Amino acid sequence: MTSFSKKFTVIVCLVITVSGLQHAFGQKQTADTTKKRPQVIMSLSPAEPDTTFSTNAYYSVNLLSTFATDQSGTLSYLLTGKGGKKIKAESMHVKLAPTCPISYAFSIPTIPAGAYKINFTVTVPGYQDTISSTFKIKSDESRKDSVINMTLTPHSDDGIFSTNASYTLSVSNTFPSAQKATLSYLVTTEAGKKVKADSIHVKIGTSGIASYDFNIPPAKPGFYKINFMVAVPDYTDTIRRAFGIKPALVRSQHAKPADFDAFWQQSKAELAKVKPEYKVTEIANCKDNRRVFEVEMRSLDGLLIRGFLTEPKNHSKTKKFAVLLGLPGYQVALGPMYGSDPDIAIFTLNIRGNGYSRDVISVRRESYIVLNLEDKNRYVLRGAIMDCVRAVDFIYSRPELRHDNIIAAGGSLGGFLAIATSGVDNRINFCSAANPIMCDVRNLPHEVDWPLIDINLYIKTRPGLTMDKVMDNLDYFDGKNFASGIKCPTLVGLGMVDNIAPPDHVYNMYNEIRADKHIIIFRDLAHEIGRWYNVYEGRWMRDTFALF
Amino acid sequence: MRLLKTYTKTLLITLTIFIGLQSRSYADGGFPVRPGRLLLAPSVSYFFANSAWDTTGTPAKRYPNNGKYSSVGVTFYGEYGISRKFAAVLSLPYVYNSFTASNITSNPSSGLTDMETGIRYYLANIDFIYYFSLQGTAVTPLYHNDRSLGYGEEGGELKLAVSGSGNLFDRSIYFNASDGFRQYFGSNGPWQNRYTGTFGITIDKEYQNQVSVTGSGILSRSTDKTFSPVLEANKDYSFFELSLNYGHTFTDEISVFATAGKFLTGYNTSAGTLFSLAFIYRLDYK
Repeated sequence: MTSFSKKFTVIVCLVITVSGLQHAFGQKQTADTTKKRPQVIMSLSPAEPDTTFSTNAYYSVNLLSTFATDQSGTLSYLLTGKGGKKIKAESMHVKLAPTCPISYAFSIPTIPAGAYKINFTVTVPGYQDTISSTFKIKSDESRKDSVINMTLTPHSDDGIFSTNASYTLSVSNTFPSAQKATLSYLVTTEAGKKVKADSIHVKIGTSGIASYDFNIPPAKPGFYKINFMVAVPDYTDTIRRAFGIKPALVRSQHAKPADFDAFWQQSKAELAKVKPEYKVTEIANCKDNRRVFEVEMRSLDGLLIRGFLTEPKNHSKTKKFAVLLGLPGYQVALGPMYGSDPDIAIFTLNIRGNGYSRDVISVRRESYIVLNLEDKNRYVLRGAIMDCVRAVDFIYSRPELRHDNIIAAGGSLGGFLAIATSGVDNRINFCSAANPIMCDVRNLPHEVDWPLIDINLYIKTRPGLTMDKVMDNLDYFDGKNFASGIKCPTLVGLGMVDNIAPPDHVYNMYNEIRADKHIIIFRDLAHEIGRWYNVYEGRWMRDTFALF
Repeated sequence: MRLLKTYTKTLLITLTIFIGLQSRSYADGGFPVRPGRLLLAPSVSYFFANSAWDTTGTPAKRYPNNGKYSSVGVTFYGEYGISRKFAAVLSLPYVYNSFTASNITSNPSSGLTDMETGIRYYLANIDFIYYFSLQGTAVTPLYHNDRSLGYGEEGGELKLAVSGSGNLFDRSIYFNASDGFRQYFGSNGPWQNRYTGTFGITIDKEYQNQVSVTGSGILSRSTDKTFSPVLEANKDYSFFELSLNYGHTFTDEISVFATAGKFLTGYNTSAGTLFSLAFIYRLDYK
């Protein structure tokens, strides 16, 4: 993954600003769409030249394709300074659907104070266009006392509303004089389609805090992004949040493949033919009064995978431990996990190609998620999910472990693996999935950057492979399709502004779970969960396993 | 993806360090009992009183002629988790009572008193923080015609209890509250409202030491209004007791609880002071 795409994956999300949309798809669209030749209409937000930023410059490039078919191409920027000297240039892949507005956000790395020019260029086969703007970066001196502080208070603890969302925006002014400001908001779908925008003009004095209530008009059930912006002549700022309306009603429009269950039955049958050849080696040094074991075993296709089992030291020969099966995040190496809990053994698994299980599959970080994606029977996650099933086989092989008290838990890819494993293997007794990725995969394009960036690059390297074919394969690895097979209590955690596991995707999966379930929503968090999730998880798990 | 890595590790670590304080608290609360867990709690207590509240209530009046009532009790308490929802409880008390005064020759009485056997049912919880239980108890006298040991009547009790745990000031806390209605089935057999509330807090981060305060009382009503300095003999009385408790956990299996209590208000009963010491053994059979 390039440094740009890494940064893009982690910190950049789809952003559309009010002024950008108004200019791009309001006045300009009307004029430009009268032309016969198909084109990509571009606009910028902020649209005004000479916008002043305090440290980093932020731009949203709004694109609207009038081509009749999907267009793949690149969107790049060139930043130049005084005298036209090149400062920075970046490029990214874009896919444009016909008449579907989409915006891409760019965070320009920290640059010295001064005046700059930036050119954004979109290139698709047979077409290229550029839009330019200028901006300034404040000097350190002028930054000190010149901000409009914004505090946004949603009128809902978890960002979920029954009909219409409402917020209170509080602003204070540290400029030396009162400022005429525009306070505005923009609501878009998770895919970036504008839903609603509004603004008010206020005068912010030099003392005190002024608060303004925003009552967003009703929207249909689903999740929406909302940006609140403040603009004064020498300062702009944006707060990015999201909210949900009646999320229990959201459903994916994409069905589970008819042979989904048969596919996984066949996968498990193939796994069953592989002798596990468990090798358990106690490691001498240990912490927290626990015994530590390195575990090796054979999984699907005969691959060697590894994990670590830690058990509380116990003098009772009859004592049996509940088991936490810890599943890894993307390309995370899981070592032995400790802790002082006397009731729980912890088995941390390194799925194939991850951490300590890279004997055969050892690919670059960005290549893992797409490895053999063109064939669902060879796709790396098929083996990875079977690795998790093999881990359950291992737990069942241990007499000191409770076979009816197994919790599968993980975050991000680990959350997906927890869902998938619980869906195909009903020996899991409790499922905990935080920020699970790969849910409702057919709606991932236009909503997430990763893994779409890597998937698009992979398609380019495989002649004949198309996104449609990829999606046909990924249907068998869609978290929502596993969810309906889960039979155990399931806890799900989501961050409302998560741009890797967006809330609508996670909820589409969650709504497919038919077992006892609970979801904890963190209103202001992205790809992470708060402490309450862990507390609740521990309590519910202990209650389920009767570990009072 | 550093964030994901950090997150994943945090998730697992946090999960495994969670230990419910409920298992550390002494018996008889709303918390469910772990299936296969046997809790044995032998205790010894010493109660004494040299004054009593009469039928008009406060203030308590000293017994004439330096009278003093004392009672030494040994109680065997046990509970066993039958399943996730059900637990069996047993209480088997033995007492040695005596009343001395300058003009009275001591005539002590001793023996097993009322055995209590019951079934506790785990009703529900709220967010796995507050637990509710319902307990039915049968009261069986283990003596005959000795009013100094009890009423000598069969009885039954239905008790609702709630318990919870959490954190306060970086310390673990818990509470138990219960209210039970008891009916003795003999002639003039009183009905009683027995209530108790406890708030406890750990005083170290290792959960080894805790202190708690308990308020408890009995409101007993009967047509038999007679008064005896021997507590077990009165049928129409009430009192409220406040006690301080200290608990120390030696191992996951062994704890000790020390209690000092004082009767603060009452009616037709002794105004006494209580000290007790309980040893708690937890044994898991599953």
